Amino acid sequence: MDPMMQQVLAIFADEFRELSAGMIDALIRADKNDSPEMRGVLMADIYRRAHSIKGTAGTLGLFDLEEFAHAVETSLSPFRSGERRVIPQLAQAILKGMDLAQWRVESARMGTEQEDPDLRASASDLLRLALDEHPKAPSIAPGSVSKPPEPAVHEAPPPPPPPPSAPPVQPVALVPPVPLAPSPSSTAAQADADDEDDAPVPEPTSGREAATPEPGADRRKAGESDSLRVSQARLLTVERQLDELRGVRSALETRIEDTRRLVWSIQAALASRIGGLNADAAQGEDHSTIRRVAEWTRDMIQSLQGFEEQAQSVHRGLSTDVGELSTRIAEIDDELRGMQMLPVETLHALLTRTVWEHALSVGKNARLEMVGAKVALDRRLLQELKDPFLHLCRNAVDHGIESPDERRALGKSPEGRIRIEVEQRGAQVAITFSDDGAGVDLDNVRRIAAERGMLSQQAAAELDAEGVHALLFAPGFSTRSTVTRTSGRGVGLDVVRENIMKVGGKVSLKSKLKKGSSFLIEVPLTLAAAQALLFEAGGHVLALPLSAVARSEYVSVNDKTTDEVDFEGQLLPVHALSQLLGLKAARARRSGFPVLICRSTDRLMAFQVERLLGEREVVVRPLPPELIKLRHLSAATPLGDGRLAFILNPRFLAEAALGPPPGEIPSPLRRRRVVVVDDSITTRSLHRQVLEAAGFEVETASDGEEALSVLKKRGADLVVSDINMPRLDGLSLTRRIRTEAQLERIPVVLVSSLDSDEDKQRARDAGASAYLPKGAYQRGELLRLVQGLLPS
Amino acid sequence: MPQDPVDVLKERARSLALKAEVALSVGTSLTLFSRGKVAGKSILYGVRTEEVEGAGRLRHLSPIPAAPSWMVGAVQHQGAVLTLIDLPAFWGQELEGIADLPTYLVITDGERRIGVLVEDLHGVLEVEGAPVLYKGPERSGLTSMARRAGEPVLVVSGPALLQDTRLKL
Repeated sequence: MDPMMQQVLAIFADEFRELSAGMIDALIRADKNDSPEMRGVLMADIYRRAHSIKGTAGTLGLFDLEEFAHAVETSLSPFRSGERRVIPQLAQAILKGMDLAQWRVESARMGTEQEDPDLRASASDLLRLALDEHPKAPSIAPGSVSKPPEPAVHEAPPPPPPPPSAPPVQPVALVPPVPLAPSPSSTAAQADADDEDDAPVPEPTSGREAATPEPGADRRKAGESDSLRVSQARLLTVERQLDELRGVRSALETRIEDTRRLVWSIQAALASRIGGLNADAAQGEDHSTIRRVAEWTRDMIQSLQGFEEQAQSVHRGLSTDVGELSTRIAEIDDELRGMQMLPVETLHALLTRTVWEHALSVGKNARLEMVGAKVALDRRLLQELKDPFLHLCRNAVDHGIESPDERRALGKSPEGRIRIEVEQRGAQVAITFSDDGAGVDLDNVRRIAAERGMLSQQAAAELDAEGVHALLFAPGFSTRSTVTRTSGRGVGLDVVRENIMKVGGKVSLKSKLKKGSSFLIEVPLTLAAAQALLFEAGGHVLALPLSAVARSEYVSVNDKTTDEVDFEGQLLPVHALSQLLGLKAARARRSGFPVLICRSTDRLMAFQVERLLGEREVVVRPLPPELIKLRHLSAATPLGDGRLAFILNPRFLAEAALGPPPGEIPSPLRRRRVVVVDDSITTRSLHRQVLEAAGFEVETASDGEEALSVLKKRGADLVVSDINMPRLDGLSLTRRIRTEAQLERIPVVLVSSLDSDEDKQRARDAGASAYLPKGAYQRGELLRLVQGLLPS
Repeated sequence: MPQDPVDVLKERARSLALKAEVALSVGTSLTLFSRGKVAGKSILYGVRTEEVEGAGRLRHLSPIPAAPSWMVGAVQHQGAVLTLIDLPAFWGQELEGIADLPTYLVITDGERRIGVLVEDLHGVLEVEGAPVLYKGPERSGLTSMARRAGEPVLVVSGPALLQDTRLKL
């Protein structure tokens, strides 16, 4: 593709995103607004945007998009005055079409010239709906707006020249984009042009908190913008440059040290020569040779004095430079952190649309309100929270908000309300998702839990409200009797909770029958930096979030007991952190050791470490997937010397030291953990798929040695193992499991291609719980064996 | 009860598909490195050059607490945490002698990346002759074999390597 065309398409893609978000927002608001005048204003906005898209699309040769935009204009013409609300089917069709159009624009940006037949079909659908609704509306035959020009080869027209006042097109997106069409009225988004999963463009800030805007409040000046768009690539470049600057600073600090030593050396040399000359003069020796040497030495001393002054000057200069450099680095650091923050309202348009569309599809009426949406969060955090928020919105519509008739019968307004309140509390942000719907029927949940065998009848009956709410977060639990596209498979709230916990947050639920439900989500303000306590354990420099450390103290060997510490009247057993993590134990100090008293979800535990290194604000680096799998780690932080210190996960430490938290998920609902051992990646994948589909948590190992290490660190409820493997085969692994106190009760299923009686006997002798020949292996058979061996 | 033939065929198809999708052609450019020796001779590996994001000198290696032995440690690479693995250990192999591993190669599948320790980097090679599918013991990421001056080069595929479940969530 012509590079200039590529550039222009990239700019159009950004512009389209803004126009589209504005159109959708206006469509939803027009539907909710009771004022015909206001609806008229909003429809005019939609028209202007559609017209803008149509014009640019035609210019760029995107004729299917041009046709679609024209169909939007035409289909909305019966509603243009605002006297009537747009019919729901038409609104939904426009939304679906906008998604297709978005896709078309993105694929054009990536170089696809092929038209999208679905987009043309969508245009036809819109026109058909418009005709059905208003037979006298101008009807345009599909494809007649624009056709690919003859002859067959089409060359993209040159992009239109920018308006005279606009700056020249820049390849780097840190300048306002050149308008290709009449400027859209919008604030520029901080959404990243290169991110596929970007949060959508924030709606223009109109100070909207909850209620419908006043008539006229929506009129805004074209081209008004108070923010810049920054590309992700640019951000990463700056981050990299910052790292390099830190390296330069390190090098300069070394140079300063060198010059300081140089100055000392010169001073010392000068002092000894001057001392020698004075001594000669005092003795009154007057030999010509000595005089010459003395003169020579004086000259040398003068030169050295000059060098010393120069060295001092260099030293002063370098010190100033390093000071300046440190200031610059701090400034860039602050800038970067600022760029990384996005207001929660960035998600407003997406969530509003989701609630509206989903309510329409299930025959309900609901609106979304957001309060405190200006609170800014780390953009990575916001990205992680997008899916949980979407699910909670759909969940509220499905399970919370009643149908309009039911609501009227209860004396409620037919339109349900979903409210998101955001509040910053120090270094945390609290987000409350509430609805004024049906609330949770505690008895119904208890009944379902008992019916599904999750709890006994008695246990279910005795479960308090908190326990019932916790059940709703359990994997596989759903109160729906039928499965819909979004609800009923029981894979919703547990994933919501996991996603929130992944970013260091927590979620809880409260509800009142017939009044509504409220989810409270608490997350850290930023993933980029945190207060942490650094320490050494097991030969590693490690860190814990300071919020997880209640206190640190020093236990002396002279103390009455070193196995427990008293914290606010509670005796806590001391766990050696190195042992908990399976690290090499440090040599015991003669005098004593530091102890960290930590907390996680209101549980307290005490850990012995080797050395405390102090509290500091640390830069937090997220972990790649292979390290996220190591559940004891939550992040990493760079140390000044270029190494990394790993930040531990307090929740994992609590579980490792104290077991799973009581009451959070009752133990019958904890996912059973199976370790699959096989040196064949295909076989491991196969077993994993089968077992995970049945609800087991699966970890794999490629041989017996690795499996043993995994079992010692993280345990398991059952092991499925091949026999023939390198390093440690299945039979040896089974014997080792049977001889280790902490592992001996774990059932072992051996799966092998060998099928003789002798082989089976060898497996029994080794201590295997079951033997499954691969020749007889079927997915169902393995699963039946595993489920049979695990205690209920 | 005999295994369902359809299941057998599906398993086989899955296994072949993993290898077939990364087949090389003559002229493909590979970045070569060596790691390990067999009978005194260096084992040569190649990675498609477009799957190599970069390389680095091993400085400031940070060990990862309680990590599997094939996860040698982590470094800061372009502002992000990069995990370094030792391929032979990852594959459960034992090698002769003790090696000095001063360099790492950053291998990517376009989205994710992993660092592999290397003994020596040998530059870039264009595949000669017709490459063949790798048919040795199952080793995650090893998909084909090429030749360099008559010597075999084991081709590591970035996407295939990063599909290993130990490297994914």
